[in-house]
Amino acid sequence: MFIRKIKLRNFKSFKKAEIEFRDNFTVITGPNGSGKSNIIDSILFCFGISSSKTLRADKLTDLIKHGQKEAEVTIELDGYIVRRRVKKTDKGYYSYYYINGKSVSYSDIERLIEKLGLNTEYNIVMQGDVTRVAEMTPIQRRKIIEDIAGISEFEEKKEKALEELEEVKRNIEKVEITIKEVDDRLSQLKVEREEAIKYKNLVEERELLLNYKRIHEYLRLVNTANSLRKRLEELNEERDQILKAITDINSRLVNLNEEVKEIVDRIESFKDSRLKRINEEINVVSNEISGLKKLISLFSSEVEDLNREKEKTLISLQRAEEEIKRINEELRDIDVKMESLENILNEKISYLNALKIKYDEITSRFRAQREELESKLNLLNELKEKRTSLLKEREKILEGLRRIGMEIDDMELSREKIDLSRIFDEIAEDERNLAILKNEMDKLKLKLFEIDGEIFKLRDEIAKIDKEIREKEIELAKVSAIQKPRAVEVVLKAKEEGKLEGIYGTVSQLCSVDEKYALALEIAGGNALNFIVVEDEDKAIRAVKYLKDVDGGRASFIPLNRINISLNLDKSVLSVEGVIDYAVNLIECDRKFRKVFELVYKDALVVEDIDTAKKFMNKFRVVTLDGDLIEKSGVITGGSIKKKATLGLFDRERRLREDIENLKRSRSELESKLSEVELERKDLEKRIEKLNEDITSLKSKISTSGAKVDEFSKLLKDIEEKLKEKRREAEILNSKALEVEEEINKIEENIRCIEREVKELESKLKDDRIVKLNTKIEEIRGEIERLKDLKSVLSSKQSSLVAKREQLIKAIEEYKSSLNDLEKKITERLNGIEDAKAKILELERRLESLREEERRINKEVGDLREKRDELLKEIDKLEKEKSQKTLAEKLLEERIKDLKEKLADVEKTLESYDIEIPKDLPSLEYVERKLLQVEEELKSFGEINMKAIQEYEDVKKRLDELIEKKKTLERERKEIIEKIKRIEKMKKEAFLSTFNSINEKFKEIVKELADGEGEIYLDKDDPFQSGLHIRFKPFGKPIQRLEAMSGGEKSLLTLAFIFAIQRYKPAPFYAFDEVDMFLDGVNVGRLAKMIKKLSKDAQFIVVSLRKPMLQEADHVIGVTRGGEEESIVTAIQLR
Amino acid sequence: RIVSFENVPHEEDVEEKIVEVYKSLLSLGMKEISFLNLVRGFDKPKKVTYYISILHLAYRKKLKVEQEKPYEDIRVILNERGD
Repeated sequence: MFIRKIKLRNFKSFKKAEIEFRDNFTVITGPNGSGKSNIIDSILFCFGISSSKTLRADKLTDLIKHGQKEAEVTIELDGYIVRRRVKKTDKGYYSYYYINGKSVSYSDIERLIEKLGLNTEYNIVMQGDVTRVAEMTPIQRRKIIEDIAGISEFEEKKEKALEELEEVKRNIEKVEITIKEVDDRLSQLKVEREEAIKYKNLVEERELLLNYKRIHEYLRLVNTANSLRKRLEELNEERDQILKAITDINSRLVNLNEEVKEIVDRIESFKDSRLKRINEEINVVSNEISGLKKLISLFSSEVEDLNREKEKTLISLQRAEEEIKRINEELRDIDVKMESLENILNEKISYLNALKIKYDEITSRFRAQREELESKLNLLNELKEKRTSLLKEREKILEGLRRIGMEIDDMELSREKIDLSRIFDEIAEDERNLAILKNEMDKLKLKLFEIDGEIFKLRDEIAKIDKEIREKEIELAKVSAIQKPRAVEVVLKAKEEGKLEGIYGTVSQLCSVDEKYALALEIAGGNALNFIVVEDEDKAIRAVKYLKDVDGGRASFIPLNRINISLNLDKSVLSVEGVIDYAVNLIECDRKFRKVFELVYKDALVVEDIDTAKKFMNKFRVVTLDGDLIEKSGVITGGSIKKKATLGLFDRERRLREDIENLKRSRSELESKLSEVELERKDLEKRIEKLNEDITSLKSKISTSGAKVDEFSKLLKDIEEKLKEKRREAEILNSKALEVEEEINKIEENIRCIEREVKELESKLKDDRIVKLNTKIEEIRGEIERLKDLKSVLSSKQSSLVAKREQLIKAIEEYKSSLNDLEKKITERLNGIEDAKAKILELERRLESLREEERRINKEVGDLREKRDELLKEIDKLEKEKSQKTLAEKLLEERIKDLKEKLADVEKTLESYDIEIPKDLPSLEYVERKLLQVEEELKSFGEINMKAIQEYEDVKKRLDELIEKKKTLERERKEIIEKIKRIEKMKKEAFLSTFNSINEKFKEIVKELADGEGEIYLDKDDPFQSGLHIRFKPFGKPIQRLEAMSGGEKSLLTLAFIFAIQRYKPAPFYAFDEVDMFLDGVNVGRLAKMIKKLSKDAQFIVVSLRKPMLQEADHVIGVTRGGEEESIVTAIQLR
Repeated sequence: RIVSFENVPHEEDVEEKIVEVYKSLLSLGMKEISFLNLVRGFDKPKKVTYYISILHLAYRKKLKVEQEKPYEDIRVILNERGD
């Protein structure tokens, strides 16, 4: 593990430097003050090895180069890069360590030093260290060996053991004191304990007697419990029967509910699947139809637009064709005129030529004048030709102007065609429609809100009715359960389940009575009120068999067909005061059941009180309003009675049933109303949805129209631009035409001028014949010219007309093409409309079929609902029966519960006894007598410390523990003493082993280094009381002690001592700072040679100014000062 | 061989060597000298003497030393105003 590189930044005299080290032996040299030792300081700094004093600085910040804020040293080792940075601030300084770029703490650096074996005390030797060792006292030098031998570790162990020993001693003393105190307390407790034991025995006897007493009480309670259990078993049996019946009902209910669920599932499946699919399809088809209708509307609108455009085009076409016709006629006229002109012109030219010949003959004498005249005439002709050419050019320009004019006309026509106002009107119309739709939407939403409110109210009402029904049903169940015997219940239930036919109900169920007669009629009716009225005896027999089959108990039946009774009631009795009426007359019932009541009540008379009743003894069966009864036989039954009023209750039952039915009817009405409202809501939702679609569609249309407006606006702008361009072109042509016109005028002026000259010349050549001829020629020429002009004009007009015709033909072609396009478009749109209509018809047929299917499914669902309702009714009946049973079961349960509670109380009481019954249980009398005796004896005791018994045991136990603890502590003390002795021994062995080993190495080194014999020795037998001395015998000289040696000798031997230590505890590298300072040249050479030898196994970095040292080095690093007084380094290799 | 600490052999006179080396540098008449060229053929002690002397001369601002990489050649640049 060598140092490969040291990087310094702002460290002491170094501003920035990189010092590279190579293996073996490197010497750092340079003038004093150049900064050599700062390199060794940097190693100490980077490893955080020593204090700032060792680093030759008053404080750490003095290590920072003057004028800088921070310093940094990086040392690159094999495999490690250690960096330390110190930063100066106003508040102080901060120091940072890094290993391989990672910020670490100083303890990490310490661990690294430990790991690398950098024993910095001896492998980095600073300038003063040699002198320091030499000047140490012998004891201090011994301490060095102690350090190296790790004696401090033994010392620490010994110190710890001594502390432990002291602690044990203190504990032993404490325990001894406590033992004394506890022993005293024990003696005192012994007396109290004996008294307490005597008292305790008496108390225990009393407890035993009391226990016997409790056993007697216990036995009494056991008997009570047994009788309660027996009663409980009976009731449980009864309840089990009811529970079985409830289980049967539940099973039936489960089946029915499953059936209902199946139906509901089927209904739901209809709703969820088929109906939903049909509805969705209806919506799709409706939407499709709506879309197609919109398409038809759109196409119709487009057809109208196209027709309007077609009409306009046709008008333009017609105009163009008329114009062509006119042009053709004009051209024909021009052709005729041209032909006629040509003939006349030819005649005139022939005539002119003849005249010219004649004239030439006559004017031969006046040739020169004639020639001049000729020349003038030629010039005149040229000018005229030029004029003709200019006229043509003018014509062309005018033609150009006309063309541009037509183009402008076309553009204006196109511009007119772009009818923005129509689109604006459409948008305005659409927006009006949109506002209407939105308004309608708002209304529908308001309506929806109202309907939601109505639905909420209806549901609330239904919920209230449901609650009322439930309450009534519970009450009904209670009423029914109170009155009807089990067998009657079974039969009525069988009737409801359809198991038995021809059952009308119990006698009481078939009538209603006034509340005030109810009790009297109930008493008069007696058990017969629960007789079951049936159609005939067969029905009765079937019912009886059924009761047997189901083990339903016994009931009485009244076959309606078999009632044979004829009552002859004496009405005179009714006039007696206190007589109310015959019982049978106080009953309200169906006429067909009248006989039933005649059978039950016969001639029983209802009177106000028992005194009145007395009057009819042995004549009638009389019952009072209070429920007192006097049989015909004279038997009187009466007294107080709970007003259960069976008939009243039966009547109540009937009323309750009616109420429930009425409530159910109301509920059904409300449900039907709710369904209607919900349907209305759905319809409303559909309408809203449809409106939403329309609004969206309209918005989209408005948006499209807006886009169209933008597009047309752009087109208009383009046309305007083009118009401007064309108008500019027209202006240019106009100005050109004016220029040509001006030129023509100039030429004509010239022509007139020349003609005047010609006239003058001709006047010179005055001769009558010539003049005449000339006049004639001129006339002819004039005519010819006129004719030519006329021809030219006609020709120009002809060209212009032909060009115009060509343009018109072209325009007609375009119009026709445009018309064709329009026709095609119209046809396409009409076809589209036809297709859409056909498709609509098809879709409407599909819609009808879907609606038909929807109606069919709705019917199917309706049927299922009916079936479901029937099943629900049955469930309802069963539920009622179940409620009755449940109520009965509850009543029994309550009784059982009461009994159980009583039993539980008894059992709990029994449990609380927790006793065993002894075989020889003394009698209760004996127990009570003996108890009195014991109580008397207990009273004779004074104050007793009962705790003394337990306390005595505790204190005794504590005393035993303390004695045991004392023994343990004494054992521990012995062990610690043994341990201290062992540590002492090991310490001495470690020291002597280290000492001897270092001494051996010292001897070897001294021999090699100083050419003499040397040793280290201790001055006492006990090494730890000794001082360490160095003894040296130079070759051929007496032995010397270190204290008596010269400075050079001291240095050499001290170095030998240091080397010996280093050999004992090798390090990977060594740094020496001017350790050769006090050696002469020869000894420096020796030292250098030794270092050279040792450097084979370790890296040596030595600061030295001595040449012998430098000469032995493998590499020399030179330190000097640079321009700005900073240290600079160079390095040379000497090997 | 007898080693005597009292009889210390004569130590080299460093100052004398410095002056000697400086003179030899000046005598070359070059402003910039390669250290390797300068000490080529020298034995180890003489090389050390020259190196130490140059370090001292640099310290006294008689010259400047520049080395691009450690252990490579050193450029010795004489200062003009050195005396």
